[in-house]
Amino acid sequence: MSDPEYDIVIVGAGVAGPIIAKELSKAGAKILIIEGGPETAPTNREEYMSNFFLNTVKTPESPYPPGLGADPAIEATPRATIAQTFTQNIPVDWKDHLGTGGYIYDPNISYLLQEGPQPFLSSYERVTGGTTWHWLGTSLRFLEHDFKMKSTYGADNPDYPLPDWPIAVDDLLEAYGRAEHEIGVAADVTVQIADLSDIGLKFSPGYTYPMQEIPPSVVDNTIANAVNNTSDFVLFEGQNVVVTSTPAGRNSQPNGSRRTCAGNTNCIPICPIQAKWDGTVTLSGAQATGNVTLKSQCVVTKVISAGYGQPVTGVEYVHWENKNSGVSKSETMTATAKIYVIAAHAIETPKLMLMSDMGNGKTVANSSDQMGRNLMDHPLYLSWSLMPEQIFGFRGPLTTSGIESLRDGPFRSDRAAWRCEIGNEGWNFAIGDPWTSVNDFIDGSNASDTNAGGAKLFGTALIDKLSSHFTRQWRMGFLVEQTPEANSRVTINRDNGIVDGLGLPRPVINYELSEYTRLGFASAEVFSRQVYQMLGAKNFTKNEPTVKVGDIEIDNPVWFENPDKAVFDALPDALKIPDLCANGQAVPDGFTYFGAGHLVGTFRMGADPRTSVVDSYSRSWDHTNLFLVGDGVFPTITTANPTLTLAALAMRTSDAIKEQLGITA
Amino acid sequence: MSISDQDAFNALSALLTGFNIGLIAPRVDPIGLPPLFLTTATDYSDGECANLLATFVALKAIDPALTDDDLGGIIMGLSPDPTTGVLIAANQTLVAQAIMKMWYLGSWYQPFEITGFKAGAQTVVSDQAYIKGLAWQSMQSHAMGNSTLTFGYWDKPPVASLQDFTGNSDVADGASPNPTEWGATT
Amino acid sequence: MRLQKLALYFGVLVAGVYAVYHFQFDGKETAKKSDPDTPLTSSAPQSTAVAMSTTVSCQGADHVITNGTSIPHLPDFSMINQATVDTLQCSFDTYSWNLFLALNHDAQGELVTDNSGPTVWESWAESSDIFLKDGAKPVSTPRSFPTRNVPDECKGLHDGKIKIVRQVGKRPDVLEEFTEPFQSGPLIDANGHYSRFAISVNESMYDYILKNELYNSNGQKAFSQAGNEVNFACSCNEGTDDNGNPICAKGGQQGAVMAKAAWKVIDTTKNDDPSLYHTVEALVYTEQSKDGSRPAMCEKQMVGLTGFHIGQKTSNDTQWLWSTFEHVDNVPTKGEVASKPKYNYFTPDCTDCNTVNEPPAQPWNPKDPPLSDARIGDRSQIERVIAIHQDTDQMNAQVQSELLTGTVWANYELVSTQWPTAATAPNAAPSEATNWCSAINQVDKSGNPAPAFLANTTLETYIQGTVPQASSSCINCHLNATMTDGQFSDFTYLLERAQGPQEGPSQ
Repeated sequence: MSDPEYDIVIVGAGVAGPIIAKELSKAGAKILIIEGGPETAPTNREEYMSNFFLNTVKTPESPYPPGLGADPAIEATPRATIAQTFTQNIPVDWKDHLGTGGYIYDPNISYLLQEGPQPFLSSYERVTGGTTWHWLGTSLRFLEHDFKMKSTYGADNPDYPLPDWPIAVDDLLEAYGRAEHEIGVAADVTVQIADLSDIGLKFSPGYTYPMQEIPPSVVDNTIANAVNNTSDFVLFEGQNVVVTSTPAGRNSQPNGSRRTCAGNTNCIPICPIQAKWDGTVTLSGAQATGNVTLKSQCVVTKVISAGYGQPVTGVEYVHWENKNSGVSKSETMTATAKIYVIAAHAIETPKLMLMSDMGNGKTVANSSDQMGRNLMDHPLYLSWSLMPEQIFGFRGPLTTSGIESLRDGPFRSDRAAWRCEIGNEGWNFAIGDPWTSVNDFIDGSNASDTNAGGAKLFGTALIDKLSSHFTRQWRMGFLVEQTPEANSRVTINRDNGIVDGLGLPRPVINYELSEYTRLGFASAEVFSRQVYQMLGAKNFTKNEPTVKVGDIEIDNPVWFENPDKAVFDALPDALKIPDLCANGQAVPDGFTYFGAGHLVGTFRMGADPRTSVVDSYSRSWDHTNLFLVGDGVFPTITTANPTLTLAALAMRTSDAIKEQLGITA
Repeated sequence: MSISDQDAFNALSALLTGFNIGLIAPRVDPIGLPPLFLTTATDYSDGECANLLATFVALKAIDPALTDDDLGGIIMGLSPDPTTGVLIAANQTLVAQAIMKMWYLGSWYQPFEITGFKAGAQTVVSDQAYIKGLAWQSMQSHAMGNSTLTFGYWDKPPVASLQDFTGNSDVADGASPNPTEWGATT
Repeated sequence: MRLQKLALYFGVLVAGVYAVYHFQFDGKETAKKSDPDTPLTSSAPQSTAVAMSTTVSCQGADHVITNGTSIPHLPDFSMINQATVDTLQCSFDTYSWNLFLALNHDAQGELVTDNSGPTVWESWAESSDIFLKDGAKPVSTPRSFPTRNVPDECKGLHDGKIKIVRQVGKRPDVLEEFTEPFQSGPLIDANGHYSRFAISVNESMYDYILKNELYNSNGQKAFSQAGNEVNFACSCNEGTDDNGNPICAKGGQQGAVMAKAAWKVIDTTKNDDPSLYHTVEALVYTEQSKDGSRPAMCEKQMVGLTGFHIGQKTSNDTQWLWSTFEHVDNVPTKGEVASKPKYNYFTPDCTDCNTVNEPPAQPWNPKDPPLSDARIGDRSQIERVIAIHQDTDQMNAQVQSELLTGTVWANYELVSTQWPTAATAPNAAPSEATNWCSAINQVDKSGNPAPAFLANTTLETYIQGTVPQASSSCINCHLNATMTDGQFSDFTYLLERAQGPQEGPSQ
């Protein structure tokens, strides 16, 4: 075999790919990045912003190619979208066919083939820069106990669902700092330490963030004034409650060539001015070294190796182009390097790896049979309410603070923890405002549940109603820690005949929230009632067990039964007042969940090759020159948004690759 | 004296939206939404937009004493035409509501089925229609994705009043609503 | 009555009354030069061919463009009751030409026609003169031509004749990090040379920065923490409002003006004709690359002006007025035939050039110019996306032929002028305390500019479209400008260049 063309081939230009490319290219390594989606020149922002403005559905994916209505069987790089999980895409008899070849969402519309029993609701992008085009910017570190859940909370419980990581928080502190400086995280370390050091938030001595804190919103300050420094919340007895400014990869001052955040309230789907870091920023820095070649619109179809214990010897890929109404693809090409890095996130990476047959009935990097398993997200409980006074949401970045102080606690022995994100976008996420309420108050309809009288307003009365309504809206989003489950997983099925536009199999998803996870929803509802009580706010949250497809009422796949009615029965009467309760129910029938866009697990790291896919450096146990990077390696998802930690792990991997290549720069 | 369709459209739009005509249809206007909106409403209403404007002009001409509240009530189908004693044609009310939504949200909501467009079909009229939507003004903010203010503005309530945002001196500007309506429970 | 005011306003631009409404940029020399009827006497060979003024008919009104030395102020357009966007655009474009001509005179009040002396704006402090290493205080005397901050690599080439030595492109490693959003890439001319950019400010702006210690990031922080917001002085004419309150300083006030220039290397080996450009000898400095692999370097080269922005803050235009000019040979207009044999940033009949209006591929290395012919695909291939308005085109033709024949300036054209249509808040009266600026519109700080989009093909090369926020609009983009502490910097990206006493974040 001839000498490899490159030192490193990286598959995927999202978060981890560009970070590793930049770290290694600065040290002189020659790198090829293969990206499935189109290249996104900085000037593409014009096109994407135009798509955003003109799309009636402004979901996270709405600005980006392929368009929301694109047929996943035709496109070269289809991906999961929120729009694919809209109610109208659910077959009315969906429940009857699960387990017998049926899917929750129509496979003619949904890229993911969802076998259930519950739907996976998160989405991603396949463009250069990846999903960071529409990420929020939240850059939280994991807590000390997050890395050691089993030994901290489940040592005596053989069924405890959360494993330890093979590393501890101290192993990652330096890498966290590097990642925060690469991304450009705005936060005040003294505030973070003051609020959260007692639940295990840690920094290297003398550490400072690269940018000052982003100011909290009027909404944040109002909530903080009501709840801060109380410690008698039911279910969290003795634990301090405090609203903390959220560290964010968002400019609080000019940063390089990028502008200061102007509060466009649009981090998702797209920052108009790139005040928010995305993968293209780091990629551009990597390309500036002259050591990086980017091949976009190239989809890797196979990772080649002769067997476990053997190195990876190449990756096969095809280049595609949109031609007329279809896709044309090149002959299969092969790229070779000393080191291979697969950075295609928790769905596309296992899909690729499971496609990588070694000719002996085995697939690359899967001696553990863990590839694709333990798919996780932050199932999100959304709770929305109206304040008694104006708090002026719909202003500033989408979120600027959260209640982080309950992310750890002794309750984690029994039920899932969460972080509570405070929204600055009124009921935009919750019910699609301002569209929904404007329609209600003009038409006399009541989709918002705030126009029961059917008022049809115009003129001054309309302005007064909308002003009063919109300036009092707010919401909390609870990111619940989901347990890893062997049967929540990504697989491929070459026999179902369902492929993408390149003829590749599409990801098959099995997914289910565990009892431990569901209990986190109950505690979130109990917590939100107490917050609303302190604020004098009225809860408008709806958890609907059924939805209508046309005129037919069907079971809502994102609804599940309340796992702990007893805890609600036991609440004091003051917390059972209908105005404080979701659906007005003192004892909820059940809850619904949203996706958080966090694709985690599926090639977990561990200390034991028999139960994990990669080691603590994200190196495959089976092939020493293969690294599988990204948040797919997380053994647990914890309660924090994953991007910062996956960026820190990419720094750690970069160091390991440098060592392996003998680069000391 | 007859007024142009555009003038009638602008006056009707101001009446229904509650916004000052000088704000929604400024004389020095680098964007030009009023003609775009009139064209859109005309093109997607099978003549009902013209009928609505004719009704509006006629009402004003027949009874100059009608207040904006009276006129709005008639057009919204809430009260009958005082001269005929009957409600205006339902489709004219539907067009009026679609025009209001276009101003508030920048989208055209097809009010009734016409050839090629089902009732309820939506389209964003233009990027400028979206960012200038009056819904954002009613909350004293800006369209999501189009900040008109600067870093950190969100840590204080809006500097400009609701009157500034709407050009309407009658608006309540955040005066306390009925607490029971807003769900205060303590 | 309003109409009369309109007529009066346009009337006063007629030569003779002109000086009454226009404040000299250099008060010391007003005596001789304030009277535009006085013929210019000059040793400049072509200056005698230059006419003094021309009257342009635009949208049915007469507009006088004067080859004068005064920076014009524009009265409040809102006084003009019957105006429309189009008629007002004529007024603002007239203003822009008057401003351009005034700024391209030399210190002696003569139009710089033979590149013998620096223009007014070239005598101003450049950003690199103000924002020094470690936030050191700039040298404030002499007030014009501040001592240049000469990088070590340039010192051997620096001949002391400061007026002809100019650094261009202060941070070329990321060429447009301050004003071209989104790292949109370098502008590489048809000969393969990277274009360079420089920003300079007038004395009013320079003084404000010095007085408030905004040249230093710590000074900026202290300024903000004391409750201040950056508010450069507004140009205004002496007068009173309806209640008899003054609306400007006695004698008028020359407020803040800034200029941004784009320069291309004049490569005579590639048949560039220096007589077609305003040229200077410049030290072209390229900073060390961020990864340290390419050292800093400095070369003496002849460069020619290809793009020119002017921003001026006026009493009733607190979003500033933005005038933008280009060399006529820069680019063809999209959809029109590329009729010239040679353009600065477009290669006609090119089959292997870069995609039109897309940035060159990385890596961007200005140390390597000129690119070999083999890399022609890496050169910028630029078209103008939004055609110049026909009114502006006509004005350009008349000014070029009647005022500028035989000078290099006949090769420059006004692209457009951007101005706020809803600039101020209600009850926005200016006062001395507000630097004679009206209060800004707090509903929409951008003031709803006209035209909504405006791009100079040399300065906003890759974002010339019409998508709100993403495409070039001077005012909308500059509204996002902040100081190093993130606070609003009054529409200038300059202040973010300030350094502090100690640099470098810890980890």
